[in-house]
Amino acid sequence: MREEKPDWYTSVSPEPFSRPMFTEQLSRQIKERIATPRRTFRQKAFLPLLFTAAMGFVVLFAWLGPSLFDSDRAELADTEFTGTVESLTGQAALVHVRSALAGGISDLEQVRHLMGENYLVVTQLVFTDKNDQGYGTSYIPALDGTYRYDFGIVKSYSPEKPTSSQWYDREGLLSGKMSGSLLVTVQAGELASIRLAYAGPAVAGVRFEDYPVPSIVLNDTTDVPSGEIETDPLLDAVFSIEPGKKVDAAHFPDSLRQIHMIDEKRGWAAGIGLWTTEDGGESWTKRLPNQKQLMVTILTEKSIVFFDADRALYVDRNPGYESRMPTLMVYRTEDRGVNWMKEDLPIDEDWERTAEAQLTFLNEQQGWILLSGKGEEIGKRQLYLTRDGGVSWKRLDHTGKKEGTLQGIEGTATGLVFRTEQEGYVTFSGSTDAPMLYRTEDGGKTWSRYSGLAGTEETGTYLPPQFFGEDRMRGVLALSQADGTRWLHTEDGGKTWIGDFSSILLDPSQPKWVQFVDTQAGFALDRQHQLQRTDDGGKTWMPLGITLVGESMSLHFISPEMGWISADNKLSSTKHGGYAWTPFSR
Amino acid sequence: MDDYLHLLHAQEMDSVTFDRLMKEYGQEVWNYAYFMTRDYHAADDISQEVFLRVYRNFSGFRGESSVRTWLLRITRNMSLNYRKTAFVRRVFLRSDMSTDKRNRSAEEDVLDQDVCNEIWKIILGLPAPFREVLLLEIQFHYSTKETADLIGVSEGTVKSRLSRARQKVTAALKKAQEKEGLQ
Repeated sequence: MREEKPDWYTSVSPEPFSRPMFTEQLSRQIKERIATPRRTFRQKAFLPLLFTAAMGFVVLFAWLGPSLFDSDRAELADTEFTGTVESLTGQAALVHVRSALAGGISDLEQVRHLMGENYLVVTQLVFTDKNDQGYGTSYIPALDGTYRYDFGIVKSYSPEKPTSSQWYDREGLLSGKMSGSLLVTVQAGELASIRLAYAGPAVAGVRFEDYPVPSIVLNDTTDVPSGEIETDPLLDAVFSIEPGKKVDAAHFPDSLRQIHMIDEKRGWAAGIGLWTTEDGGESWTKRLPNQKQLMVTILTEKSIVFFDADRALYVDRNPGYESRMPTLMVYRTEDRGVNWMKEDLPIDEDWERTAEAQLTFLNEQQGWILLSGKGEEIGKRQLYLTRDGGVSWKRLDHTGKKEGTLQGIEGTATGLVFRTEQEGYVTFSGSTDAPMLYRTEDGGKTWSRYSGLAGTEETGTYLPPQFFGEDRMRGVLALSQADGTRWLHTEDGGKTWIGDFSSILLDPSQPKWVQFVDTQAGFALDRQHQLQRTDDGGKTWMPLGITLVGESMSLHFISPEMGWISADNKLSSTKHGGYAWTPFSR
Repeated sequence: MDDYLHLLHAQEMDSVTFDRLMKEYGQEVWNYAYFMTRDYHAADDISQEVFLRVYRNFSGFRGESSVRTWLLRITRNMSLNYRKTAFVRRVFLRSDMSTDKRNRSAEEDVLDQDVCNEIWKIILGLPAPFREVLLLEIQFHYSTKETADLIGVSEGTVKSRLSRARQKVTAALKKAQEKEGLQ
């Protein structure tokens, strides 16, 4: 039954305050504090003094306040001035504790503040020398277990200790010699639950009340590192540029994750926004699928494909301004990013909404998307196939079976590559020392571990293979190992592989940092972010004298001579095989 | 509320979204903090901290609740913990301000005039648990279920707390009217 609202509900104003209390000034201050690192006050000598004085005042107020100003506290006990219950007895003690509990208690310090320092150990997971079931006198029970706090005990009464069948002192409660007991559970050193036992007024036996501890416990403001996070001027700049607007590479406002050039003049770049260039990278035009959209969150560099200067395709979440469930969408453009079409990926499981996506195309028609579950959903995987250039996508069904699919394979999928319509590869990293390469020969329906390549059944992590030639028979596959990299080559479409070893160290989590323009000429950023070049398929590498510095780096070569690199918002290009670079800078 | 679902996936809070969050929920956050602490400066500080925290740690938003409930939950926890921890910060932050700004009673007097009507004044005079449920119901239009979820007690507790809170206001109003009648 819903209770009738009292008459005064009709005359209460909808807002308590007649003016905005969360003022413009306040929100400005917040933004200022975001923009500037938190001031540290330690240098100022007078502050500790002030601090001590202030704390003294607080303590004084907290202790005197209630008794001075709150005379009928038994009725109006308030969470603010809890204080300990120690001096109270009878119903007043119970009222005090219940009000404090009802107001919300979220950590052990608050329990101590309310109950005082004496508690009984009911159970304790880790035994210490204070486990003799006597009153603990240590500060607070920080060890995992359950603890009893008694309150409102009349003088000369000593409550019964907990037994294996009863944690509270039934007789003590019912006889009124004590007002109540609190059972406090500590897990992982944190307050987990609170249960109150007390005798009801009509003495119907002992009553219990459970007080859940608020699930988000933010018991300290210091867990936010001070001054560490500032606004990113790049971020502000890129947001302020509208789609279609052109910027100079010298003042490039975006931190680039990927450059992809099509020819000497035309190409793409992706950061928070998408960009196109028509002058070899001198200037860039911002492209976004929608004016309302601020940014592309393009899941990873692996979820975007550039076909040519006009056509690109990527997988992303649906934009935030859409008021519907999160889902995954495929965005397509055929006019250099001016206009975009988008299709929902036909996902039908919840985990897919937040999955990571990898996108690959064999040709302009046929492509695949691999979704990988993240977090608790790790190991879940699902493939989608298109045969019409990304317009429509079909879920590849593996009818719930795990055997012969990519389901449950441990590790992170680092690459998805198809050599033919039937033959494809997925590389994994992270779970074991054994190299994890999976292969399908039926277009992705079934997969099996592909091992024993060129007799290298060793340790390491594969980077996704690259295939060359009209027939895509020739290919390069890198196996990153602890002391170097094994370079495997095939001439027969992956049936046989021949390996070479070089000492270059790669970062297998960054497959885009290795790029071969043909089977012999390749470029790589090594683990030290040094750019290196090979002309013999990986057997020997030559450092090019450039080390990239930044949060995100990328490289792209369209020929053994011509290439581009980026580190954050800085871009450079070479026409000399990487031996000489021209930065696009002021 | 759905407007903020994209936060679930974003790596960074963008400034436009952040502005919108503050515009949309700033006042509610401030009110809630004030109702929990009855302290003008505390409400200022807490609402600042809430939004800073949200800006910096919004990966904590898991989409289980609405953004609003999530904000209010943070506000609530901060208010409860305020006396214990944040006071230190406040002393620090205020220390370099002019002294008249630290004069609490002046601020409180101003605030008193800003309370819309007698009923809110009465509500503000109630103990925190009662103030809280009434604010949530009257200003935020929270259902008992939403309130229960937010403050982590059962719906039954919310109902009884609400009913007691209402009774207290009714009684106080009656008393005030009688007093007026006598004059």
